[in-house]
Amino acid sequence: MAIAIEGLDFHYGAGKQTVPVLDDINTSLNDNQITAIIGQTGSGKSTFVQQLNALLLPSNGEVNVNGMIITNKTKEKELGPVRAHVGMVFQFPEAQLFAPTVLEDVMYGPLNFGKTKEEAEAAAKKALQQVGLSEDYLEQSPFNLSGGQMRRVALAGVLAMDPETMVFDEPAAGLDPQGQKELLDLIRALKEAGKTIVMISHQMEQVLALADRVIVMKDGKIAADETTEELFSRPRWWFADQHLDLPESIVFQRALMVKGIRHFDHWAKNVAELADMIKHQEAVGHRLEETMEIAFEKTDKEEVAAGRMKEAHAYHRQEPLFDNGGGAHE
Amino acid sequence: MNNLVIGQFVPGDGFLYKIDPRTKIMVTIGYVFFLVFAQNFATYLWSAAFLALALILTKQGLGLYWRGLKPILWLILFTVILQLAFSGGTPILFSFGPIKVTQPGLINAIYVVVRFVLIVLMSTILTITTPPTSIASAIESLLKPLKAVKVPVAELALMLSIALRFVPLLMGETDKIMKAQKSRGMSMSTGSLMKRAKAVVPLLVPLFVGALQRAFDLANAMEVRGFESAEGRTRYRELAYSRDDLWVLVASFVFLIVFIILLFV
Repeated sequence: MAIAIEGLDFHYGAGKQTVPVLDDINTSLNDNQITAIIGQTGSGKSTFVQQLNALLLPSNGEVNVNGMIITNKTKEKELGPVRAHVGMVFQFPEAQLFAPTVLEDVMYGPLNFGKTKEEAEAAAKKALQQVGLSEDYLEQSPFNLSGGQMRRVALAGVLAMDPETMVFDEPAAGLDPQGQKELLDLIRALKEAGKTIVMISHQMEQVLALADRVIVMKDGKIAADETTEELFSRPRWWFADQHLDLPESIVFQRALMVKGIRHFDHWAKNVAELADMIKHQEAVGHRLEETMEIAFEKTDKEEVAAGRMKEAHAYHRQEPLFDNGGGAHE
Repeated sequence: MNNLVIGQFVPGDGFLYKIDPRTKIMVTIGYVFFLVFAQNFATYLWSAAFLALALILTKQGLGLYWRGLKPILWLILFTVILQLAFSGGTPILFSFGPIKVTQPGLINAIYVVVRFVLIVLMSTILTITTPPTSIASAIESLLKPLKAVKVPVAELALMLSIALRFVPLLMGETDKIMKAQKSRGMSMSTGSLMKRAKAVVPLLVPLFVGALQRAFDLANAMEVRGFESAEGRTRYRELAYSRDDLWVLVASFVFLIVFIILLFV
């Protein structure tokens, strides 16, 4: 386990005027997985990820990064290795560019972490290639680039450090659809290259498409910490309570299941995959049980309460949402 | 960064909070001005007493003011050393090589410390009890007479309030950029002095770029909404003198008269 968090509390300020932000967080991040962190604005997501590379120190509890233990007594001087291990890509990272040329900016991180000039340059060139910027940009000023290109340079600045774990805070915010797609492909490629990824996202479609595991935060606490498959099997009202949406493909997939048009053994990662699944499957031709209908479909106010009761029971009994046998209704 | 007390408004309900900002600014400027003339023990003691009264009237804890003084302790120490080392006169108390510490030098050094502390505390009282926007409108009001000689007072005041508005924004931005660069291995607490000074560049450049960008955005936003002149702006909070301001003025005049008498005693 690359990073383990134990009994983590965090508050701003001291004495009487403390503002609690994180409350008793216990979790760990699995190696070589993409963990998505979701939750409403103000739920503590950004504060949480800043604990992962010790930009903020825990008020109580500890964070264990690859054996290095961070508590509120850890000194700033000792944090170098932690920061080298966990790279952080902030929201709108293009705001951090400063050097006269793209190459120098990207080399900044590796040089700080003790690489020689040659190594840093090689790492920078490789990172720029990874984000899709050609060698023509090396000597340009980062301030003359377009917004999307600046974002790539900033991203390369973190990639060049070659951290084991990379944290992305809403990486796709403000990018055009093509840019978003390329970014998500990059994240996927990083995972394949053996990196551990943590990403904050508000787009459930991204979470579904990319994440192996999801941590849902609410009011500074962990509201759910489970695989993506498990999370999206939760009832719809649960998502409404967290002020989260379900991905559109899942809403559709659920509707198909509830109406008994199709049943599936897993959630499709996106609409295209769902379409594929439908294409290669025979129609069920009958409706599923009434309880399933209540589980997903009932939105009528009077029925919601009853629905929740049933759902809650079903959830506690850990009844599978999927009918893996496929033939149980024959 | 949040430990900086100088220039910060701290909400409270002391007597000085109810005083018109113009009165507070005038009294503060007057106080600092006359403090320069203080030269004997009696005048410093009297000035300190006046300051103590103002401190009590803010109803804030002394810890707050102590935190306000802390950042400038080094500056004070530096001036003290200069005063001690390079004041002439006799008698000489002790000497290290060419540097002689004299009795007038020592007395001067003490006076400098007291003057420094009094000035800083008085201005801290002003900013602690007065929100920045009130200070801006007070300055505009106080500068009004200069309109007669074509000084663009309204524009100056608008610039001032915009500048004040930018302070918290820039603080937030600094924090953000600092974190981003720390993640890339920036370290201001290790390395030689030269290395530490250089570490500021990755912080300052993005900060300036961001500030300029914001300024352009703001200028555009103002123009789009038809801004032409700051002249004739109305405001939500109109400044008005009250009876309490009169008391402050009376107290200040009493202070000044006694101060002048003490100077010549």
